[in-house]
Amino acid sequence: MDINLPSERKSLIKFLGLYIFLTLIILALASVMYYKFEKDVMLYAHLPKLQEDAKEVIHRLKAMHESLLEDNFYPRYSTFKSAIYDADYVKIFSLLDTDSINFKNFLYKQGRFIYFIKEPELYYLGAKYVVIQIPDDERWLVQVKKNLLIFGGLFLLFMAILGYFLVKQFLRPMKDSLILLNNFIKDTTHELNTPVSTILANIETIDTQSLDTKVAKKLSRIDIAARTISTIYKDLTYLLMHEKLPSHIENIDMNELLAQRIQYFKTLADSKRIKISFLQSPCFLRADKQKIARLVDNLLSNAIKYNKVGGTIKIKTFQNGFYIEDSGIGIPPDKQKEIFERYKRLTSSEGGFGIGLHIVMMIAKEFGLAIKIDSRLNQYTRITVTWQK
Amino acid sequence: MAKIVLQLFLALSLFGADVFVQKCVHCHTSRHLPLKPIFFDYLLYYSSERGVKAAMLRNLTHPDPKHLLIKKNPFKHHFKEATLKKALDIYWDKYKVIGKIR
Ligand code: HEC
Repeated sequence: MDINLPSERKSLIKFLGLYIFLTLIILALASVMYYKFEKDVMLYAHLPKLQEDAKEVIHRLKAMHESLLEDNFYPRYSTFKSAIYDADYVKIFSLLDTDSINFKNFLYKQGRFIYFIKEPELYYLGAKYVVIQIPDDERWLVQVKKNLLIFGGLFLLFMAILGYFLVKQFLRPMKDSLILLNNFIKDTTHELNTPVSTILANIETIDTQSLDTKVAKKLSRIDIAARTISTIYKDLTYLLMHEKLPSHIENIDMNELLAQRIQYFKTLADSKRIKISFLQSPCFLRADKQKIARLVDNLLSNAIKYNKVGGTIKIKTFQNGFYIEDSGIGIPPDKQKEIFERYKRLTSSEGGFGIGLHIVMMIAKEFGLAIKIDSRLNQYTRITVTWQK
Repeated sequence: MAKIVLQLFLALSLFGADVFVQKCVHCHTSRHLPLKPIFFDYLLYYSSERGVKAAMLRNLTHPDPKHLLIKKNPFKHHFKEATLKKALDIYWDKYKVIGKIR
């Protein structure tokens, strides 16, 4: 099943974010630790040789010292370079490539060199620190990088698989209840269709003229109720199925469609003594007729629902658009934006599912229709729908 | 006349010689205590310029067999501290290792 609810997606993203974050932290820590460990192993592998080198330098320093520097030739070797520093870290003599020595460490790597610092027991020529430098071929580093890539990759793969199963586990209860709810609503709405259609069809066959006015009034109320249910049914089906409903595009004569839908809502409008005026000019729209009917129905039903008793509804078509204006409670300016969100209702006193305007918005989006709200509190609300030629 | 010139010349040459040569070298040479080996001995134990100078100053003004490098008969050097310091500076510059190694 695909993931529908934004809340579900949000919590999923949060979970995944945290999971990835933790995974990367673990990976980074492990990599750093592994790198340091391998570096130490490499450094200590060089230690015996470095000790040997230092010993030779010191041996030579001793001879120089004992000659009272009459012999002042500093020892040079092909395999390593060396330097001597006094107790205050002042350079006495150096063959090294650098002057920045880290005296806190006795064995370390800096740049592409390994440094070893030896403190002789006696400071020949004042040398308290004998620094030995050898080049690091960094073959170990290549190996470390290779291993990090391989094992890091394996670790990430493992974590990805684990994450996949965790997410599935995490989503299962939500999915289950969602599927259950979805199916339930689909089934019920489907079951609703037949009886409502039957009621409506039968009311139409009754000749109201021959009836007692009291009965006729009651019948009209039944008619209104059945129509309301039918509208809700259509809205629900649209919400549940709109992704699976292919749009059947045709050239719609909006005057014809609006007239038809006005006729459909006439009983409902009459019950509130609302007068509907319809001003027509040629108006056509290329879209799916069923869906545009849903849009019009919702606008009309709102215009009736939020109107006052004895109010008016003005409908006017023009080239590339139409508007529906009621004389109802109006929409405060700060509410005009959020009004199209699902389940938002203007007031909680009126009936309805509050999904109407949401559906209007969805359909408008699908066919590229622009929707504009003009409203004055307690005076009117005019909803204008326009489209490009 | 010649005597006066000689005296003047002597005084001038003495004046021209630095404090170290003036105050230290003569006595040490006469007593067969050459200053160069002493310097290298100090290097061996005190390493840096700061360390060597501080140790010498202490050992010359307050000779204590515990610290002295030559322990035959502790000899208190009677000099003003400023003179001594100046002499030690020259002493260090004369024998220091830095810059002399090839
Ligand atoms: C009057 C003679 C005399 C003069 C002048 C003299 N010294 Fe000495 N110095 C000695 C003697 C004697 C000793 C050795 C003491 C001993 O045997 O323990 C000595 C020892 C030393 C030592 C070694 C101390 C030790 O650790 O044992 C130093 C350093 C030294 N002299 C520096 C100087 C300096 C610098 C000057 C000039 C400012 C100077 N001396 C002037 C007589 C002299």
